[in-house]
Amino acid sequence: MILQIIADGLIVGSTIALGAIGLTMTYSLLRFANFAHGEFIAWGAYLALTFLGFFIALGGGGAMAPLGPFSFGWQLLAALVAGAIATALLALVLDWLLFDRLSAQGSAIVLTIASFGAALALRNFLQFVYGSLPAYYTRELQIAIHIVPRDVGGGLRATPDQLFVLGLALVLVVGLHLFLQRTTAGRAMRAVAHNPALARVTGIDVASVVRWTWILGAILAAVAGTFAGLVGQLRPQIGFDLLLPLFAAAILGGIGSVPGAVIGGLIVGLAESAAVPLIGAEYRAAAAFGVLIAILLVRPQGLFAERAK
Amino acid sequence: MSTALAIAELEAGYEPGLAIVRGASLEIAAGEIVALLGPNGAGKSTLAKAVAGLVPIFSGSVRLGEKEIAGAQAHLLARAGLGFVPQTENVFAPLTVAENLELAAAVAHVKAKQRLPELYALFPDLAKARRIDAGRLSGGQRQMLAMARALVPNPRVLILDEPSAGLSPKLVEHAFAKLAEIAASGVAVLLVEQNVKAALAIAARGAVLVEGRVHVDAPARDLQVPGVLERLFFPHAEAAAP
Repeated sequence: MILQIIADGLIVGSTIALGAIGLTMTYSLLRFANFAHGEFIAWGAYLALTFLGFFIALGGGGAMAPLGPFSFGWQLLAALVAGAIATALLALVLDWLLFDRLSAQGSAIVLTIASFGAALALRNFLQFVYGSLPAYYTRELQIAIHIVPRDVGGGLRATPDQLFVLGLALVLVVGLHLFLQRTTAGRAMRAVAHNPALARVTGIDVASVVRWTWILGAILAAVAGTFAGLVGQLRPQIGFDLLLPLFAAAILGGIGSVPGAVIGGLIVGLAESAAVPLIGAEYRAAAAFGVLIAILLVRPQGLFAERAK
Repeated sequence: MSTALAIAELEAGYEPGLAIVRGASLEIAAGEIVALLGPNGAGKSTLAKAVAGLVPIFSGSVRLGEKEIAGAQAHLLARAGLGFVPQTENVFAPLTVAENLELAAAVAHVKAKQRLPELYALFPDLAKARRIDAGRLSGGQRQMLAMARALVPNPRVLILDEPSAGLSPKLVEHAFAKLAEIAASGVAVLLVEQNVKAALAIAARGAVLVEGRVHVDAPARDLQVPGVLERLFFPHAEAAAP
């Protein structure tokens, strides 16, 4: 039982972590809480659905031939990439239309309220385009496989799709960590997050770094949305529902800290998973609230706040 | 010696219509150290930041060599050969010493493998601390790193905003000795300082900024005469005296 709770928590947490990374990166560079980030998750998921239909049609139509033990074929992987690119473009357009203009003259609170408005508009437009009924990438049934036998810690079962989500999330997090630590672009992002004025006199094009931050954050959000749709279902509220866990994860980890967002995401995921047997599935979402309140009371700067600075 | 930086009738400030620098003019030759002095609120730091592209310029001219740079973006100025060391928060604390320097080299398209050993030779303390986060350095080491970071792209002009702030007298002496070495290599240095004595000890000239204008531009030895600077810093006080 305990192993299953941990595994479920890590799977949910990996999706939250990917979303929280983008949120915390945007905050550390642009200094505002972007409430529209949840909508990048939703748009990423639905754009992948659109591209999935395109790639299936490109392959001659019909059913998608699954790859090995998974419920999906190559078309979903291609749709994931295309959806992520399209979401990055959406983020750049939103920055150009709204945030870039407001940041030149407005304070953080103006940008935050603007992001509320953008989130509402994006969510309603998504519902207008795709409808409000749940959608699925695939209707293939997946049987959970035994990874740990039942007599060891209550056993552990997971579907191949869930393992794929966990594995790819891990690859992306490690890749992002190496990007931020080892590459010039990654170091430039850390430099701008720390001190934009010093970054400018060092020769860093801050506007370009901000654009790349939007692109990276939106790509990770789109992947998170596609993962959420793959192991669950697609709904227009998918991003809105993830917003609170994203903020809880980002605050728990320490706003501005990428490793903090990952650890925070996994902790929030584990808390949500543990809440199911303890207080019931209907209160699962309350676990993120509980974690958020506890952090704000005990350690408002978050776990990794010092590193974030 | 050729003029490395020429500032003419510069007006600059943070808010439109509210100039803090009001018609300042100054020239610095290659290899020369000029100390920019003045009372608090005279506009010294604002002038330095305006030249570096961090504060809006309303009018006037700034030439880097033959090139007009007034109003250019800060990151382009850094790449064009104008190094700036801010007074505070002048290193990237979460990055290691080596990462600070490698980043500056990468954005300026300078070969780090070639340039960094030269800078480590100039600042041996940094070589020993290259794997340490800049945020954990002492005040003196930070100042060395800030100078080294600005020197990575081989700038023609180096502007330092109060590099002695927060340093012990011994560290100030050490830092200014390094500045003299840097200038001797042909870099024009504009030294914005409150520590008048230390600044004039290494500077060829001193420029006194009062109410946003260069009031006096004279050889350093002339400004070291007791009482001269006090009169220049507070000209109105002298006029009002009985």
